[in-house]
Amino acid sequence: MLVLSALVACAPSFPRQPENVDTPRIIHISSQPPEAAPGEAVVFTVVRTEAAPPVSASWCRVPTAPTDPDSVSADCIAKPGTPVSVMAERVMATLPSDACRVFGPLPPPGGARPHDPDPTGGYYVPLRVTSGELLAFGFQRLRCELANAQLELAIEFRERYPVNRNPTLLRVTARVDEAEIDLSTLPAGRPVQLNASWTPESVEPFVRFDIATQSLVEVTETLTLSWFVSGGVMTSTGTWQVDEPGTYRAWTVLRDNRGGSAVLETALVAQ
Amino acid sequence: MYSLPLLLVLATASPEQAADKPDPSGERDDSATTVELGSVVRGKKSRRPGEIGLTEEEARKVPGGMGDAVSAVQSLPGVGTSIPGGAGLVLWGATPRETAALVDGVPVPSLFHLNGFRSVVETRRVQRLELTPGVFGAEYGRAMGGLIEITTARPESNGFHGSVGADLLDATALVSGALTANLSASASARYSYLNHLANAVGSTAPIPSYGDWQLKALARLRADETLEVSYLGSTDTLLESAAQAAETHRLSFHRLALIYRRAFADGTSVSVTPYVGWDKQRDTTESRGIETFIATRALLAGVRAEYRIPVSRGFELAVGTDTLATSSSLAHVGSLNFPHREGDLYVFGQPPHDELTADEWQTFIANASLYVSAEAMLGPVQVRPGVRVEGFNLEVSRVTPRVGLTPAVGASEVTWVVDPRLQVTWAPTSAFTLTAAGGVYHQAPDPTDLSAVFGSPLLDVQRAIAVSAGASLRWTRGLTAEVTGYARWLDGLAARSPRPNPPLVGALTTDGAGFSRGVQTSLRARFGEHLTGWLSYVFSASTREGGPDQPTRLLDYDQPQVLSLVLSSSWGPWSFGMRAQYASGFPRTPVLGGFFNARTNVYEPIFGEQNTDRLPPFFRMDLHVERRSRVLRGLRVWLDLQNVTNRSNPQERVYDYDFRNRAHLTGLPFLAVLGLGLDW
Repeated sequence: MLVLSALVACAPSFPRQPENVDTPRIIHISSQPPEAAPGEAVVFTVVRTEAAPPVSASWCRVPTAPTDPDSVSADCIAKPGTPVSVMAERVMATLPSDACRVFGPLPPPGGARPHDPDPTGGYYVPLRVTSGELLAFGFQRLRCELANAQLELAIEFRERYPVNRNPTLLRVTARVDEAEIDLSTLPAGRPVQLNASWTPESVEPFVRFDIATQSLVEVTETLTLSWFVSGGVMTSTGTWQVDEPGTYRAWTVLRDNRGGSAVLETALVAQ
Repeated sequence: MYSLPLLLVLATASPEQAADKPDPSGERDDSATTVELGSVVRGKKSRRPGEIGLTEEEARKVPGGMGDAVSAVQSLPGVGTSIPGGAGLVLWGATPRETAALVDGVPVPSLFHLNGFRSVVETRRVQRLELTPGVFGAEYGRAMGGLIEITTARPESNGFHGSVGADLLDATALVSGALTANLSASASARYSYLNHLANAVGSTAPIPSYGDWQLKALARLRADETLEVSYLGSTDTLLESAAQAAETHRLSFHRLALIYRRAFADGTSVSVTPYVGWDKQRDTTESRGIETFIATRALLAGVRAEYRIPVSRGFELAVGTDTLATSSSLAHVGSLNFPHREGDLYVFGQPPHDELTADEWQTFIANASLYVSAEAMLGPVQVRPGVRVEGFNLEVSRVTPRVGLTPAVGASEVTWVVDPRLQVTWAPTSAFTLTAAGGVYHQAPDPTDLSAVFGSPLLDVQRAIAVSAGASLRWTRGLTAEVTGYARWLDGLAARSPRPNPPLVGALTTDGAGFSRGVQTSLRARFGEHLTGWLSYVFSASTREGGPDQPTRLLDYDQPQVLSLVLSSSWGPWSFGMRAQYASGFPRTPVLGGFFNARTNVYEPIFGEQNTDRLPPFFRMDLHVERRSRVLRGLRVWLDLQNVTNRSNPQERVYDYDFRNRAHLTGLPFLAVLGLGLDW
């Protein structure tokens, strides 16, 4: 084994994990509705671990180039775009009218190359959000016409595609040694398994256009759960342990793979 | 063919060719060199400064190669340190894609198996290895960076011989012998098993699974006429998994060649090598539940033919053709910026974009050339001019992305180029030589870049202009010093479009350019069997530009300094070898911080100026010990000790989840590899 393991590079491990909030952070940015057409109004909610500094937000106006390694363009990372209205943690904005051409499947002016969709067939407009030194991007899913497909398919897609809705988180529960326990009476020094529940309607079926087969494919959303906690040690699967008694903040974020999300903040009291 | 200054010549240690070993003093006997390749070769071979002569046995014993003779090329001057996890070589600032790999004159996709552990030709099958960076003669083309050519050994014509061997990585077997008085044949095979051992103990280490095999038959038709049939096959599979992605790489290729040679009484000679081949490659990545891949199948056929004429005393002419046609079928599902190419900004382990698209396309790239080269001795001056007239036919099945049932419209373009080549050597004394060389080189775009979706079907032929000049001084019998300067200019390179909305079929442009320059010095020693080796130092700089209005940046493989020391010694049944190498770290782009992507719940890096930072320097010392049995003739045991100082050489930079902290992924720690071999 020593020889076998010696034949690979040695990878370092980092003690800090994303589930454990040890610095002020932007945990999540959700949008309502999660999918909208150009010109429609959208409300974003910025979930932060600290209430200050104030939030500022703007739409990105420059899409990514083939040379951009990130999900947003270097221009958008470096400076704000079109400013939008912010009130505390809420951002009120109207989707740019040309969003489907700049960030979507419609050909930009001059015969340029349109953008490619994500695996669910979606296109997104980045919203640049800052809070002091923190920089984060929310992504508003666009409702655009299907491009690069036969007219009949585009019509069928418009008729069959259901606009995305945010999933609904119901509650967070805790179990210790397989027994359910109240969130206000969690034992310090022992592992606690946190679980979240959501409505069945949160998992939505939809259709997407498969470019390889040039056909519409029926698929179902997948949901992912993320956990964050202000103290103790949290794993990505929701196992939490803290040594010091006290009250800790926990955030549970449920995402579907079409840009929809739900956030629940709970108090974990360890005794 | 020029090789200024890097010619590594191997001679098999077989009994038939024992008399063909290079003069240990370092002085080359051209007639002996001629015999080395068989009596039908192309006449007197010209003297080349900087030539390093090693027997196959000596090359195999260069430490760090784990008994692989071809791996010795990684220790030669002008060759950058191995790219971590890669199977290609960086020569004089040229990327692996720009360097051609040839086996018996036939192009192959790679000379090394995935991860660079082993070459695709079994060590005992290697007769000659030539490394020519930058400047080479008119006989070769389709490459801008250099040539690495392996000439495989001929089957034994005297008796029956063989070899078996095994070490930590794989096992090999070779048989070779005479079937009749005029017909001999050889067969070799290699099979790797370390990956199976790793799987058996539950290890998830990325150990490649590979195999290669070769069959060769040689018929002596007449005294000066031979016909060889050669078949080479290779297969590789490599699985790599990290926190955010798992990758699978598969590569296999086959080559079948006929090699006909004849020498005539008037001194002329002719050689003809027709060949066919088949390649299959698939690279798959799974990240965040999304699978992407790029797959290529290619059929190729080509022919090399040359006619050499000794026009007069001191003047020889060669006329030839070098033609290759490759038909490829490709499929790609993934994002625009993955797989990464040289010049891309990325952090090690960063998953690709989840903006996905797909394409299927076919290419037909045919390249036909006629060349004329001459070699003239004018007293102490040797002049080798050459010219290569080459036509490139680039055909693509689609010039626009697929839209519904719209039929594909293809395109075809023919480009003719004239590539002059020249080398001038002045040897005022037998110990001192000055050489200057230069040439123009062209290379077709890679079929994977000709996609209307991921690249551009409008890419054109790429060009390089290379020059070099050097001096060689033989101080004493056995000690030679050399210095060589070089410069290469490249243009027409395929590069990513920097525009947020590039043209419809313009994800790649032909606006890329590059410039490499450097000076390399070496001191070579050969004192009988008791001491051979070399000390080399290379100082170089390589830059690239993505377009006319793009900033100049360092090449991803730029290494300003590479210092190498290789020594080997034999005493009776014992052989010892030492290799020490120091090199500058590869350039990296600094990460200034990170931003949070709320859709994917990951942080992404904020980059600084491209390639303005570097990994820490690389240093490694390897030792090799070998002993031949005196009791059982032909039995040898060897021990390769890699990284004996146990230095943690940084290979990649890695970051924590929000890019606040960084560390290094380090290379192999100390490793001992034991091997056994039996030759008869």
